[in-house]
Amino acid sequence: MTLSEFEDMMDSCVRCSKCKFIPQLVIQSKRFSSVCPSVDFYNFHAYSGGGRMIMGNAYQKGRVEFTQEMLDVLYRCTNCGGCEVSCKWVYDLEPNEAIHALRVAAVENGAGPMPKHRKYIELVERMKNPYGENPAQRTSWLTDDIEIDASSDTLYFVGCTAASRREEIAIATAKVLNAAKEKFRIMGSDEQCCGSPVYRVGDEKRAIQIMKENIASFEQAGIKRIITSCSGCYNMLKVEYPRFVEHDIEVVHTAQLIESFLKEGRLELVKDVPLKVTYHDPCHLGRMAEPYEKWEGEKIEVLTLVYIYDPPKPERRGANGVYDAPRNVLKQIPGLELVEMERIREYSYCCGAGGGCKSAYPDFALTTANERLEEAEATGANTLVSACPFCGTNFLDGIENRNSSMKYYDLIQLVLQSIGGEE
Amino acid sequence: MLEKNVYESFKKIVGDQFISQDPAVMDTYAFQWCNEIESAQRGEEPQRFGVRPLAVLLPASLEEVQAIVRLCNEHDVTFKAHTTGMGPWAGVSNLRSIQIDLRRMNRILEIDEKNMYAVIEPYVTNAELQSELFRYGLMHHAQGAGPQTSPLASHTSFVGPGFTSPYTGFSGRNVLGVEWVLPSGDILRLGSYDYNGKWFSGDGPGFSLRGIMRGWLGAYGGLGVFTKAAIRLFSWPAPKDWKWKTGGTIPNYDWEVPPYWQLYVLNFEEWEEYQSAMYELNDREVCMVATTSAPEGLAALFTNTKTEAIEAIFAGLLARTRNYIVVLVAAHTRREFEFRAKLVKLILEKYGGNDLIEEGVITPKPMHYGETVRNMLGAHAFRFSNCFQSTHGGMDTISMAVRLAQLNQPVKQKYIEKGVIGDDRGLGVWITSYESGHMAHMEVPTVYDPTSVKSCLGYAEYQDECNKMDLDQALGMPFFIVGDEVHEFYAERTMHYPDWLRKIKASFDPKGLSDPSHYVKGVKKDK
Amino acid sequence: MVSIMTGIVGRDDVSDNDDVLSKYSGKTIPSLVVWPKTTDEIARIVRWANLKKISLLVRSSSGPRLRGDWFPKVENTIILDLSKMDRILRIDPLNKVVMIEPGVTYGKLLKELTRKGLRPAIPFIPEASKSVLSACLDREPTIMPRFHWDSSDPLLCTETVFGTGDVLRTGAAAGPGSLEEQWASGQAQKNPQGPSQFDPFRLVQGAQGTIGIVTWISMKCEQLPEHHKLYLAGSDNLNDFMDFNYAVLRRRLADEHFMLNKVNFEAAIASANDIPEWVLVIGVSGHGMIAEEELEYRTGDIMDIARETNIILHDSLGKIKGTDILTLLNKPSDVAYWKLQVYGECHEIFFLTTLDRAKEFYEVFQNTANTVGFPIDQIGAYIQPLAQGTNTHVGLDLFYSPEDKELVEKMISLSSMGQAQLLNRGAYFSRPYGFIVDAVFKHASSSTLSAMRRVKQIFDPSNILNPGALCFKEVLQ
Repeated sequence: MTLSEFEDMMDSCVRCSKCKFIPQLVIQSKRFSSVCPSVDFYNFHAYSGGGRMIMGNAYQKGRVEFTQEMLDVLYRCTNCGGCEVSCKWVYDLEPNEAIHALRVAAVENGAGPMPKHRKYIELVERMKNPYGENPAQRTSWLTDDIEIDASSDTLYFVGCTAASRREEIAIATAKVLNAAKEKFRIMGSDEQCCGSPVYRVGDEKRAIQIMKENIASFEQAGIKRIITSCSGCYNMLKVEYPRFVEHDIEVVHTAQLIESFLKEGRLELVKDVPLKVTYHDPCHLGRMAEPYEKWEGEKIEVLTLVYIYDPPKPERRGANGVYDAPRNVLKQIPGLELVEMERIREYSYCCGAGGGCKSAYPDFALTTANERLEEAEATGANTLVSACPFCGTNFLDGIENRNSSMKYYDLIQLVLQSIGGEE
Repeated sequence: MLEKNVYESFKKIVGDQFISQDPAVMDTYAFQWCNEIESAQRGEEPQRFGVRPLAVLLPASLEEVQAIVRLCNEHDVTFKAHTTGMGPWAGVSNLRSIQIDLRRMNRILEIDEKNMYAVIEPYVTNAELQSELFRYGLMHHAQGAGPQTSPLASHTSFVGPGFTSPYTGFSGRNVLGVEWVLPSGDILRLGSYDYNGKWFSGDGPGFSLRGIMRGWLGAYGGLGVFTKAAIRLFSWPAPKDWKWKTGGTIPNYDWEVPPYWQLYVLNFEEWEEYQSAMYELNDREVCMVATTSAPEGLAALFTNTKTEAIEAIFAGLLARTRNYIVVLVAAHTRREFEFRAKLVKLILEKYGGNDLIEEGVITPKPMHYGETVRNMLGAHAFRFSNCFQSTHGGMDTISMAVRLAQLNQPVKQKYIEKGVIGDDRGLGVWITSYESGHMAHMEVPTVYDPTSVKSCLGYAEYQDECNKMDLDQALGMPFFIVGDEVHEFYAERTMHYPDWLRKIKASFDPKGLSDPSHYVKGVKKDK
Repeated sequence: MVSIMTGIVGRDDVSDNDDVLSKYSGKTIPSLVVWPKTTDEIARIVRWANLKKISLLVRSSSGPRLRGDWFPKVENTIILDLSKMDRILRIDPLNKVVMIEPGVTYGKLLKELTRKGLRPAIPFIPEASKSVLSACLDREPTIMPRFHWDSSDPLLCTETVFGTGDVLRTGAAAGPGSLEEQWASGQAQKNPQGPSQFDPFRLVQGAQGTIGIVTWISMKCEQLPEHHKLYLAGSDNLNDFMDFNYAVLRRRLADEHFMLNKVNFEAAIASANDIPEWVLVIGVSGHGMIAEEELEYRTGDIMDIARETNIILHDSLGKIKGTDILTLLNKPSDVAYWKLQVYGECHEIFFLTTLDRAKEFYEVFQNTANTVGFPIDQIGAYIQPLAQGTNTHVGLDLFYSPEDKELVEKMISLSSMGQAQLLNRGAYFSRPYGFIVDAVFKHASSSTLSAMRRVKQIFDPSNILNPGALCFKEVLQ
């Protein structure tokens, strides 16, 4: 949808501020009541989901032009979707989608994205990854004991962050797959960024180009199923790609896969992992992970001014994210105790890295990570676990920044420990 | 634009990070729900964008607020403070205005468990305060605007009905003290605080300055800025070890209902029986909640999505629902519960009613108990069309509320037939009692379409007609009789009260800088 | 002056007779007493007084003045005695409200309300001639904190003649519409707030007659119980009751709920051997359908709380039965006010605090009494939780014989020193009278004083209403 198609929706915001908080019923304390890292850090209403919808509306109506400050407001948002979960419980509005549409409009206008984003987009185009790493080095994480089956139609899509920043996740994933006797291949130096950092900052044209290229190369390689250990990649491949490029490739996150391995008895968690952990739901594996379902139908006025969709329109409320799989895996690790934070599942608090914030607004990303770490610490856990290399990077920066005694692991690392795969 | 030196002076007070004059940021303060109605009532094209402030400031302390207000006085800049800021009354009206966003002042400063009061800053929300009070076995009166809104705003500045009103009263009557930056920049603290640093009484010495603070409606930010409020608290009827626990996933959450809680929907064929039952239930102090809406409203109250609400309506709810009272019995002990539950049944029998829950017409889930006490039910009305607003609002007795409901029906039906407002067969009302039934108010939540000019104009016309009806038939003063011209419309038949308001405004805000749009201008009129 | 007043109210209702004037005199003798009977008469008098800058002081109650302050403070004052405006204008049992004029006394009101099945919120055994309206306007504490939602209760709407001579009905009574039209629409003047965006009734209440003259009020009442019991507990330590008090107040289980020290208990209720230093009084009731079961459940829960907080509640104290006390609490004092029966005179001191500090203030006051040599056994105490337990009235009654000049001197010393000490320790004199007035306003912030003066300037710009009271010391020009 383009920004203009959101105009009625943007007109309908009642500026109620629910978008700033987790759904009101689940608030258990004042300390952890908020859901929006952006308005928490910057405070002006413009920094909330509703505020950005109003900005989008003002732009759409020609009331404002992009200024440096407006662009900052637009891009100091992790696009985490927390606002939308809270809003949609009451209203038929999609603030997170509208924010994305405004970013697209900013890029089309030539004002967006921000210089740091332009820089990494250029790297994605040139080097196939936003970090500017040499594509030839993309498989440097591979160790000798990892078994790859180049003939497999299952692809482990490593992702840029695991490949060159959080190699331990790539290694653990590969080893766990090996242990479960799950055959897989990798794209090696041909693997290109999933497009997430490009898409999230509104450069939709380039992002669609990347999607097309990726799908073409997957199809060419005969890939039927993609395994990803990155929530960002998962979200792109599973949720965003089908909106723009048709494909019938199955996409599965390692958390889901491990859960099924355990169910099928293909993995055994035998070694004690004596940690008290709390689990952070990555936005892109959680509330943002609900697939879009194509809907065609009409709006019917059932009572005066009250419309329903016929046939019923699928509602993306964040209810159907991947929440239980990682928890079910953690609960089966011997010696491990799982405690929950107050903000979990569809109302989880973002790590702060997404939406282009880690590169363009590192101070904001770090403060947000610290906020989440404080929540994790408040549970009494000594370890924070998640299932996304990008969340992990930001949390590790936060842990260092605040001198926290908390440890951070990706879920797959703990699985590897528990199957004894680290020995 | 503010003059550069003026803007720089403001910036010095709050710091770079906490001031903005960017047009897009300003527009997020100019845009308000119901601006489209007020603009229509003024004869303008209905639209949500109102007046854009010249700057928005985010002060962090009393001292900063005071400095801002003083600077406004120095440079003749109008100001309006708000908390979450929902509604046209939160925005500015004068072209040379700044907006004071109190979001950074969000501390709970004191919870006096024994003496049952809390001292809060402006941006503490109802849900936040509530979640902190449970551990003390306490609750506060949360206004119907919702759990995400500010109890300080309601207690100091706005009309304050809520779902638990029979048990927790009315915001304006629960104020024990305030810290108040007057329009001049002077700081006024009411009552006992000056004498012992405690906030247990807001009245005296001598008369109570609460008398100029808010009245029934609240001054809507037209008479300075409130930076602290001490508000009364009430017993939370649950065991000490009970915790607010939720589970499940949106929109179907679980909630742990405390023991000795029970919801009823007591349905009466005629208003007369309804009225008698409403009086008796309230007089006997058995209800934490005693509230009434339309049959369509009942469908929205205890469902979780628009689709579910509409399904409930088409499943026959309307045919079996007449004039009903949603009653929540929330008792502390088994003995208290058994007495109250028995009495509810007896009152139901006495007036020939039936319980729609017992009969399976509607089935509240545990989470709806939670939503009821978290004051979330009002927002369910937004589900129908993303928008509603209320007309009427008069507050006095249960009988007046009932009469108002009866007289409103044909008027509302007329506008429904015009297709400009949502169809509830004219039955849509919200009646709630206060203080064990000593008072009651009735308003008419009305669905309209904010994206349709016709609907906005139609709703505005309906509201004007309601206001006139209340005036002509002595049905109490509606909620939105605020602002100079609207006050004047009511003046003659309400003993010219606006003249006194104008004198208060002139005396306490001689330069007229605290935005008067939803209060009154301080122009002295000859009587 | 006499002729003008006669022109307004008629010859029979004006007096400058010395004997009459002396009844209204303190240090200053008023120049005239006038008995208006209508709002219109009062408004005309006020408008005239504005022109002539004549001060007006309202009296509604006859009877003793234990606060020593309700006398003219300036020369050339006209007393407006409203005791002849003594009609009960309306009783509305459905809406539990009564509308009364200033001259209605508790004696008269109780009788009429009982007939209609209602009971008022009543102060602790008021003097028989006490004006109900005056008590309400003075935020006089009442004995049932459960029904006391706001400090202003049970006062609801008023009709007020401000110092300008303008008349305003306050609260919902303002309109729209006349009272008759409001009644026809089902209203009963129950909402005290407003009209609109101010609460003029809060400006008149507690103002000691400095803002306006109230010609009627509506006052909220409760249903008369069918079953009503009274329980008593004793202790030598006031704080022994604390946990019980807080728990019961929080639960809103009791009707009557207050404490008396032995001196006041004996003065007001009855003498007996072995009365403990403090007596806690708890009333419980039930009314309407299953009234008896209501009484049982309330009593049951109260008894559970008593057990948990180590309080033993009895239905009598020696020979003094709870039922007898209940009878006393639901009628005004005998013709001779109980506070005057023991020693002939009584000087009242009262302030607000929270329940947890009441004992501390009581002891401070006792220490001062010891210092000045005022006998402790002539100091009565009445502790009344208010606003459903949020704060507490502490009333100290100094009983003395006016003939005992030495004791009178000590009483004066104790009153001034004792109150000053209480004030310094944080007692809140929200209704300041007598010795403490100036000290109270000295403690007030300059912005409080400035705000009060602005209000005064709006509603009584000529300062004709009780000049000299509160912080309004300006001399009439």
